[in-house]
Amino acid sequence: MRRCERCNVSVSGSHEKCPLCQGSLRGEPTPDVFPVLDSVYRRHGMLFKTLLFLSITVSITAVAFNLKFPDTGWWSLLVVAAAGCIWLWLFTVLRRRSNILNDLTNQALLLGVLSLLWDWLTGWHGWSIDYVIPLTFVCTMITVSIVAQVMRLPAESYLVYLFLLISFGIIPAVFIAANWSHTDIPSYICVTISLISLAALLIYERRAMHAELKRRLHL
Amino acid sequence: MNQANTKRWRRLDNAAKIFPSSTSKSDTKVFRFACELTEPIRPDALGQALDRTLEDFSSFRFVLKRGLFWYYLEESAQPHSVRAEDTPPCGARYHDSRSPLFEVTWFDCRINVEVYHVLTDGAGALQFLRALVYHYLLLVHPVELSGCAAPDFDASLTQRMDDGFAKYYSGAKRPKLPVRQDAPAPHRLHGPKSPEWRLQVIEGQMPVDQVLACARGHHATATALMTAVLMCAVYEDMSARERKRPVTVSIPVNLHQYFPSRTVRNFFSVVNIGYLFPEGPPVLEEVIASVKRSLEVELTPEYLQARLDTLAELEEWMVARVLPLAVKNLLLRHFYRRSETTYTTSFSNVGRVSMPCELIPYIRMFDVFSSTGDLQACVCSFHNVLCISFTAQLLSTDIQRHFFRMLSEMGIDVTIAANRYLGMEGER
Repeated sequence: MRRCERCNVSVSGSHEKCPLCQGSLRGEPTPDVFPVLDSVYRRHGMLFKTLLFLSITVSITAVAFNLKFPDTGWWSLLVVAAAGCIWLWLFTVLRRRSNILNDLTNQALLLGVLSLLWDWLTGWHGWSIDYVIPLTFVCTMITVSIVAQVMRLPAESYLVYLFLLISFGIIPAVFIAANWSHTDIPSYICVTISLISLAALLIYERRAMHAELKRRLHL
Repeated sequence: MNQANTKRWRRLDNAAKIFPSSTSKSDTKVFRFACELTEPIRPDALGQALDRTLEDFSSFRFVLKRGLFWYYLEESAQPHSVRAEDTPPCGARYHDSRSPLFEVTWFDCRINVEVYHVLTDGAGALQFLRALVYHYLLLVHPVELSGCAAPDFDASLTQRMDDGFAKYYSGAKRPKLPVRQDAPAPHRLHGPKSPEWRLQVIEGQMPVDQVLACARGHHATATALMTAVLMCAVYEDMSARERKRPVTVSIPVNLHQYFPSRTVRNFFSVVNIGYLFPEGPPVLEEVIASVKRSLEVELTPEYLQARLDTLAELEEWMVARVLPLAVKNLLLRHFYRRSETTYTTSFSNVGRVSMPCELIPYIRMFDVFSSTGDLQACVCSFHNVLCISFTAQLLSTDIQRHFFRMLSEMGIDVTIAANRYLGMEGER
């Protein structure tokens, strides 16, 4: 056993210095009580920093050009907004990357909201509610069902996401009812598939749905 | 689609509700119980012992999931395995709704159980480790230990799953907790911290009889003595300006001692013991006397019942309950940060660990420590070895040095053990 004379304590393990006062130790080392660990530093930092730097460089350059040539319109705002959207999307994707169903649901919702915003800010052509929102929800709903089957997921791990997507999928019914859409076929497809899925859930997974909702909504 | 859903689930208990929102990379809310045997661990036997232990402690199989209003625990069928210890102690346990909330690792002669505080408290984790060590030793020494009975733990599966807070919430009209006088805010520890939130562990092992003799010499319990020594060690490290603030130590209390619950879920409370050092050199006797007085006032069933009622009442408050989880998280995090400023450091005495006598020759010691944002001490004793473990994010080891030097000056034989990171020894 090693010993620190200044602290008047024995030190077990193979320390070179006293853990308390960092003074030298005397005596024979004994087996370590804890493993000696490598320092692990964060990886992937460089790629992230480079992407961030590039997007900021592009945004600043665009704004500078735009200010120099103001008669070309305010196109630089679109560049900055696009960069912001890419980062927001990347953040959403990476944050829940370990749970693919949660990730898909979040992305569908984000895509819906962002497409509405872009459509509105670029002079409302209606492409977001005509195509993007209904088709996104239909595709995500189908993807989630396929992933759940292929990965043989237990009911409680996908029911809540499927239920959320079905609820979103019924929203285009409002677009049809309010006569907002120019092309309403995608909305019809989306609402029909959502209602059929809801019926399937209620018939085949009624008990599991009930239990899952009880857990998720308990007060 | 897939099979019908029959998963068991349960709400978080009153104490556990704060943990998911107060968990951070620096303070992972994970704690470790370790048992050091007299011979190296056999991983295959440890794996088998874990399977047997989990049969009795099914609540350890639960994972943490998010509801709309609260987090909840849900049973998971994932298999659990043991692995060699190769990561920093008390690292994050909860990553997503599939992460197991405890882990069993081994290194040389030690079996480590690391638990996320949402799952259980120190008392529950210790029951688990005792059962694990019992099953392990029975597997490794089947002949010698054939007649050995399991560690005493008389509780049915439902008793183990009880929510102690809900059971002992009296629902009495708003109880009156003693109001504290306006004292200056307690001293807060500060200084450079460890890179990448790597936890620094320094533990001191000492003979129980020497510590008890020393405590008797000061007419105090071991807890009061060590709390007072810790306060003095913190005081030594304070600057002249900071010495106008009291040193406050937060002491978790095992409520099983006051309420006869057999749950292995969280069932603990906390008392804060403060001492404002007068000018001049600190006198240990005076600190001990003050700590003893405070403990006598605060550690009464009435006081603890009042505290339990207050916290349980808060949880029952309807307005708070219907807030969505995301909003709750922000609020709870804020309240937790505020409560953190009411103490300087924390000192947790788990007490004596008992094991069946036949097993004692195979066990050298038990050890306990917890994740922390700055500095924390935990104590437990087994047979004649008392182990005080300091965990710290602070790089400075001055408080630990003062603490253990004071004990060795009292004539106690202290043996220090510490964890190490490559390339860090010179910097510490």
